[in-house]
Amino acid sequence: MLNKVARIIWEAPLSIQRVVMVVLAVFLSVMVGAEVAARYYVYQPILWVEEIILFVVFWFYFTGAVYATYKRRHIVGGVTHLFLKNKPRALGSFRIMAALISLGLCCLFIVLSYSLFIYSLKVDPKTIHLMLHSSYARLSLLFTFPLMAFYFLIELIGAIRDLARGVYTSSASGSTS
Amino acid sequence: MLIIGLCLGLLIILFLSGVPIAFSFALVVVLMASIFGYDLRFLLPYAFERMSSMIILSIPLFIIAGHIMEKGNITRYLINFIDSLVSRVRGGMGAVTAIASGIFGAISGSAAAAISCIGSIIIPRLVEEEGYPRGYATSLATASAGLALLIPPSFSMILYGWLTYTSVTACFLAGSLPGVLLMFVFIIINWIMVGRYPTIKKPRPWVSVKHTGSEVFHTGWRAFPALLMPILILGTIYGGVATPTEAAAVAVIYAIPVGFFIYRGLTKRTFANALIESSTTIGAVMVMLFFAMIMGRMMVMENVPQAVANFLLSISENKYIILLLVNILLFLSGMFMDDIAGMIIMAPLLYPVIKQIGVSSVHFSAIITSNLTMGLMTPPMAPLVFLGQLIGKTTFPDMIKTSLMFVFLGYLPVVLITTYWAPLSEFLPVLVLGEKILIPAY
Repeated sequence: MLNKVARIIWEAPLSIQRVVMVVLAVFLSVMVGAEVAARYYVYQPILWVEEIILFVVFWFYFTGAVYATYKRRHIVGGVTHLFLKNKPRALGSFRIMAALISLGLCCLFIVLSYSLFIYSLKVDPKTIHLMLHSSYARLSLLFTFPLMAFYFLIELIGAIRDLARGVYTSSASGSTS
Repeated sequence: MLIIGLCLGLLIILFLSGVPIAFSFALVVVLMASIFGYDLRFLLPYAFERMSSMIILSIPLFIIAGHIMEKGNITRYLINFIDSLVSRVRGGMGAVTAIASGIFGAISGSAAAAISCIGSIIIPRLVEEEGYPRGYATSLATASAGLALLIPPSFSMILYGWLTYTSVTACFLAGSLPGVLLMFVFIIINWIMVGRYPTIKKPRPWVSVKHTGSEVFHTGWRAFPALLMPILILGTIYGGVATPTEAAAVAVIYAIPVGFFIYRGLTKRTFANALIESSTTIGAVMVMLFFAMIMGRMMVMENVPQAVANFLLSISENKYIILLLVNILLFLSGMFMDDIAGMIIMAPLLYPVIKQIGVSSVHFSAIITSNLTMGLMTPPMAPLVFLGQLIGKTTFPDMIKTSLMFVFLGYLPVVLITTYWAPLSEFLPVLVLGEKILIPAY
């Protein structure tokens, strides 16, 4: 029973992230496409499209960033595995250091993004057509950093456990454009 | 300036030690802010402001389009078509690799997508059916994947245009001819190398014009919807119908029915997976951009780009020597950074000196992109080589020699030609957009 609850708690945010990513990816493509279609077929540009796109786009970007943290798909450029091929303990130490730095920074940015949101609420103007408060786009950071911190904490625990066992598993897959 | 230098050194150490690049930037940002006394709460809105850009939205949309086409089986038809065109010449399959990567680059703009898509299909064919050594075949596919960053639409060019306020359309055009030249150079290198490997099979025999024509027609007809995609993207941009962002959205909307109903590679599940995978990649790129923008801002506030310009100009005022120094700097940065990080750091740093020696922003877009693309192949970082190694199921020592051969005989000459012969990159932008495009935006 406890296991089932834990699984639900673990899976629910991930499912929400997946749904948000799929919906926003389609939404953004369709909205930008609709803007082109409106301009050329209806001869009537939709003025509020850019406002809504730039409002939701941060939620899309940062949800992807959180999911990348869970999937360990952040862009990394480590070369330690080349020089420390047969030294799992040394490699494990680098992995712990990377997770620790990332976790610490996420915690710091939770505080900063909270101040930013409060500050934005006071000073940020609303958009012209839809009257959207731009601080709600910035609110995305306040969801991003705590979730990222949580996944980096899991990564850190995994790295410490691997180090104790003397095994090394790569923490992230490198990627490039 | 010493502190800035130390911060940049720390950044490289963090990159190399495996800290995610986004958080390497974040750590340096926090350090610089505390040393120079900046309040990060006032720098975060700057990053938001810069990223609230419709231009930058084209990167996510191209990533989505690329993933949808990847899952939609497009590559197989594309390769079959090019195979029917060139497989009867010596080293034909190697030429197919370069051409297919170039065409795929005209769809996705991502080198990683190109090696994943083209490499996973073509490397087994090169090795198992054609007798190419695995290390060499993987190196060829990996080097060719870099074409995606030169042939438009290219992520690097979008980033450059965004960072330096240069027309993205002009940047796209600037990379086209160097990209095509590089593709031909790879074909020639492969043509020469084929003679050195006796295991490689001889080309398919010529049957008749009718037989070949029929084969080309049938494979071409099947590949037509895929071939239409780059025409749609580039046609709408250069025809003035759509901005690069809008063209990317049109590409996504076009790719969905093509993947579902024509190539039938897409199902509800693979479609959702394509969107989730692309969103994950986008998230990783965007969070990195977010922190890099703050770092870039602090560097500008500390007058670093002007200091770099003054330093380079104190060595020499000769345009060609400065360009050589710029190339060396970019080559070194390519050894330690991937293309996105390299672009974000180096473009604003070098832009002032480039303006002062009278090189157009459009020309510089081709110089920096060709250099950073080469950097993807140069160790110790060489992210494209490591990705290629995984896809080609080979080892680093097995492919590094031939990879470096493609760097020094393929990339390097093209980088030098692009740097010292401006018409190669300026001809198309001037032809399509007029002379005024060469005047700097700021």
